Formats: sequence, C-alpha cells, structure tokens
Amino acid sequence: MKKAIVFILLIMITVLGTASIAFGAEADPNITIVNPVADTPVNSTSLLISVKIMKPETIKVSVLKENVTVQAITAPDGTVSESRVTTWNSVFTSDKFTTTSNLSFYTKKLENITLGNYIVRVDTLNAENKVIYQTSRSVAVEEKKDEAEVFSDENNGGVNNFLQSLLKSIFGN
Amino acid sequence: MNQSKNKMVEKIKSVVLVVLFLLTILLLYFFWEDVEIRDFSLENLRFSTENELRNTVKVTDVILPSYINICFDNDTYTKISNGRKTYWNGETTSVFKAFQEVISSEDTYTEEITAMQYEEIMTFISLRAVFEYSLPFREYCEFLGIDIPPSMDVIASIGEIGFSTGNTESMFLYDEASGKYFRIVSDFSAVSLLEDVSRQAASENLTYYPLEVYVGQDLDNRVLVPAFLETDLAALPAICTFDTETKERLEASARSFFSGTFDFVRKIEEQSGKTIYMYGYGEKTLVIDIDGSIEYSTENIDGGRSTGGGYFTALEVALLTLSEQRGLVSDEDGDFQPYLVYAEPLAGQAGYRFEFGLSAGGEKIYFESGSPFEIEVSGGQVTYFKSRYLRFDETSVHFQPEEVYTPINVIAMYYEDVYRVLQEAESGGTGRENTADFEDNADKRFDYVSAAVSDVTYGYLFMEEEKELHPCYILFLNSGNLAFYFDLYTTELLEYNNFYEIRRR
Repeated sequence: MKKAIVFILLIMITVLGTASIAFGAEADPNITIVNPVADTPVNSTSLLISVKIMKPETIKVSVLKENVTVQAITAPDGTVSESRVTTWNSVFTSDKFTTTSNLSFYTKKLENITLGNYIVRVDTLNAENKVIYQTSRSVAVEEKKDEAEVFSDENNGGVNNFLQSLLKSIFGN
Repeated sequence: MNQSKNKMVEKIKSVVLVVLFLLTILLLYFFWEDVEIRDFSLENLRFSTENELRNTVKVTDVILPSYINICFDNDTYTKISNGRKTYWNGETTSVFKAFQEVISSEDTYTEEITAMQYEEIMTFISLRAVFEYSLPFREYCEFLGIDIPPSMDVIASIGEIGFSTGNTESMFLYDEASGKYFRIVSDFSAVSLLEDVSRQAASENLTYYPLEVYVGQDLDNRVLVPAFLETDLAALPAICTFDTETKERLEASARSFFSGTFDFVRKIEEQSGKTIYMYGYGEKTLVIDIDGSIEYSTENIDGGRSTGGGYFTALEVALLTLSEQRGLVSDEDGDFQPYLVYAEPLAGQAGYRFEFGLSAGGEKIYFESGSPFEIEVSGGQVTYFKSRYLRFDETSVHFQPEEVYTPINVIAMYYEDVYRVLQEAESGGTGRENTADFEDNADKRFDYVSAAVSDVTYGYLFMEEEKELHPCYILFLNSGNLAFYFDLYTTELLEYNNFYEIRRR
C-alpha cells in the first residue's frame, strides 16, 4: 500500500513539477519573446534571445534546459516500470534589465548550445524584486537536417553548357 | 662638287626646320602653362613620376563592394565593412578573382532564378558582396578586359555578387537595375573561397543577425545588425578651414579648373571671405568658401548630349580630378582613401554623377551636408565638382574599448522621430503605404520604420560647429536615401540627411 502511494505521489510530482516550470505565473502582456520563434526548432549551436518590452519595466531572463532521468519503480505487485523524471537546469540567468522607455529590446546571444529542449523564461519584477509575471517559450534545438538542393545539377557539365551556349549565341536568348 | 654642296645646304635646312619646330613647341608650352622663362626647367617636361602615378586614385581602388555579408553554418552572420578590401581582393581571399574566373570561363551557363531561390541558397554557408551604387555589368567586364558571351547580356547591373556552398559551381548575381536574380554556372568551384572567407571572418568579426530576427517581422530588406557592439572610437578634433599653407595651394588648384590659366577669369573676393573665380559671363564658376567647401560648375559644351565614353571613362575623369585636388581635400601627407558611395546617370542629360566618401583610421566619415565629394561628368569633362576640406589626426582614432547600446535599441528609442521624417520625405509622392492608419498605432509605426531600414552601421559624423569627428551610429532608410546619425555612446539623435533633396539639385 505504502509503495503504491509513493508510486502515485512520484507521478504527481513529476507532472505538477513540469507544469509549474512550464506555466508558472501569468504571462506579461507587455512582453513578447520575439526570438526564438514559437514552434520553430533551432538548428544551430548559438541562440539569439530577443525580448520586446513595451513598457518601462524590470525583467530577468533565464534559459533552462530539460534534463530527463529515468528511474525504475517497483509496483506493489512486483512489476518494474520506468518513471521519467524531468528537471530543468539553468544554463543562463541574466542580470536585472531595466528599461525606462515604452519600447526596448533585451537581446542576448548564447553560444555552444547543445541539442535538447529549452525554455526561455522572462520574469517581470516589481519594485521589491518579486516576480509578478512570467513569460515563457519552449524551443527545441535539433540537428540540422540535410538541406534539399535548391538547384538540380542537370545544367552543370561541360558538354551541356557548351551546347546551350552555342545555341544561345546563334539564336539569342 | 656643286652636288655635294647642295646636299649639305639641304641638310642644314632640315636641321634648322627641326630646331624651329621644337622651339615652337617650347614657346607654346610657355604660353599655355603661363611659366616664366626664368622658372623653366627640363624637369617640367618630364612624364609623371612613379610617385605621382601612385597618388592617382585608380578605378580598382574605388570599385569595391559597400560591404560583404557572410552566412556561417550555424545560422549566424557577420558583416565586413571596413576591412572589405582584404576580402574583395586580398592576399588570402579574393572574391574579385573568383568573379573574374567565372565570367571569363569558356563554358558558362546563365539562367534567371527567383528571389526565393536566391535567398534560400544564401542560407547555406555563403557570402554576398553588396554594391550600393550603380555598377553596369557589361561595361565593368569590358573594363576588366573580359569578353562576356551573349547569354550574359540579360544582366544589366551588379547589385550583389554571391557564392554559396549550396551550389559551389555557381556564382549568384542580383541585378539591381532590373530587380532580377541570376546564377552563372561555370567550371569554377567556390569551395576553397568559401572555406577561407568563413574561417577568416569568424575569427575577426562580430556576430550579426538579420533585423527581422530581433523585431519578429518579415522584412523585404536583409539588414544585418550586431547582437552587441564593443567599440573604441574616440572623438577627433577636425579642422575644415584653410590655413596659410593651404591657401597657397588654392591658387594653383583654382587655375587647374580653368585649363591652367586665369586668362579671361575674374576673381571676386567677398567680405565674408568667400572667393569666386568666374570665366567669361559665368560659363565656368569656382567658389571657395571659408568653411572649407570648394564648388565648381560649368556649362556642358555639347549641351549634355554626349556621355564622353561611358561609365568607366567618366569615373576615370572624376578620379583624376579628385586626385588632382587631393591637397585641398585633406592633409597631403595623409592616407587618402576615398570610396564610391553613389553612381548614377545624370537626369536629363548624358553623363554620370559620382559621390565619394572619406575614412579616418579605416572608419567612414559622414557629413551633415551629404557626401564630401560630388563630381558630375558629362561629355568627357567635369561639369560639377564639390568637395569639403578636412584635416584630422588619424593616429588618435582608437582608444579604450567599451560596450555601447545595441542598434536595435537605438531604433526602438527613436522610431517616432524617424517615422516623422520618413513621412515628410515620402509625402512628395514616393510614399510606400498609406500612413494615415498608423497615427494611433505605435506598433504599426515601429513596423513601418523597421521595414524602411536598409542599413545600420557606425563611423564618424563631422560636426561643423563643434569642429570634431563624432563617433556615431548611422541608420539608413529607403535604400540609403535617408540617413540618421546617433551618438555612439549616448544614442542622442545628432542629425539626419535627406539625400532625396541633395541629389535632386
């Protein structure tokens, strides 16, 4: 019985913990995370963060990387199952950035980004440095896929080029 | 006996004729050059020395890309501006040589491609050499001594030259005159060029991203902006008035505008200090002002009907004049490196207008009144010349480096001011959109300004009242026809130029 309760609690903590990281407080209506773009994977080892701030505010930006560990859990009936525990590790935290104008941008370039899932989070702070809003965006850093050829190679090659040039010079374009 | 005597007489007559002929040439020289006999020296008759030839600015010195954009394999970019000469035609990398090899290949294939294909191919590791001034394609190839096949006649001008790892057998070209894109396939491979360029650029340049990445907006113009900027530019005192030594050269320089003589030329010295030279009834006029400006204009002898040889002939005439007036442009001992900023056919007559810029310690100098050198050539002669004299200590350009405001935040701080000027400039009938809907929408106004940006760079602004070269950001809009200057360290809006009005003179 105790093992069953522990098992259920572990599942709940995993789910709620992830949710609290991902959703947290309400998003700031004056903040837009311009880059990384929503629903667009990044295929690069560097990441440009661009945050548009449309009101005088103080913010703090952090980037968290997903870390998934697998734990073996034995159920009361003896069966062993896997439990995936997701944690979010901080890879970057900015200093406080304060803007006094009605439009400004926070930009930061992160280098040596490894493959994985990330969350870019912008905390809006009040005068007491308490987080009043939290705006987040998920981004996946993936391998760059082989890019499709833009042009076919049929027009390369000496004989083909020569014939085409000859025809063009006789008949014009 | 008589026969030999006659022969001797004939020989003496021939010698006397030759001597008289040479004396005639010499006397004509004295007359045209207005030289006193006592001042004559055989040195005067020598050809230009190697030193003088070296001091003449050559066409190949100024036909450079305005900048080179490089795309790396991790979706980052860099922009080469001040060091573009070493990439365009340097010892280790030469885009120019690659261009020549492609164009002069025996077997080439030219095809028009779409803008989308061009932009897509440039997302690979690639370089784009961008020319912000008009450069006619066929004439440029002829100038380089390359016969191009008829298939390339479809290309009118060179706006951009590109190479990409997406297709290393092709050279890509944007024709600004027609707005079309081309690729030229040849047996030249750009693999090693791109390797060398991207390796060199990665090690020595800042990282840039397209402006649209910062603002989250699809933009037609591909403008690269640095993610952050650290700079070491120092404000430099600059003198623009003529001193005693310069005034002595002024007289000789003024004479050169009137075919080397002041015959039939009136000299008027005004109380303000301005000096005016006028030939005849104003057919030729030269004004030298105390603010260091020199302005010459003449009526076109054939009424502007003849170009006098085309773009490059006109450019050579312009550069020769610029080189001759070099002493009135800057310190003679300084490194005189003008660069081509603007080149277009004249409106309403045959000929070309060229504008040249000036650098200090490798950094471009901008002037509140427009380009420092403006030259119009028509019928093989200079019909208009304007320059600004400027002297500064180039060794003091750099000092302690520090990080400055990012360009994106400079745009964010001043977009309302830029928007107002943009509206005024475009209200003359060249407006791109109906701006009435943007009056109550700040987001739309910002988007409108972002879409108009054509370049963001930094350099010096010559501030006449303060008599200094002031480090600044420069924001160009509408293909460079509007320029805004912001203090590099405080972001204060210093000045703006409306080149529409200056070039409609």
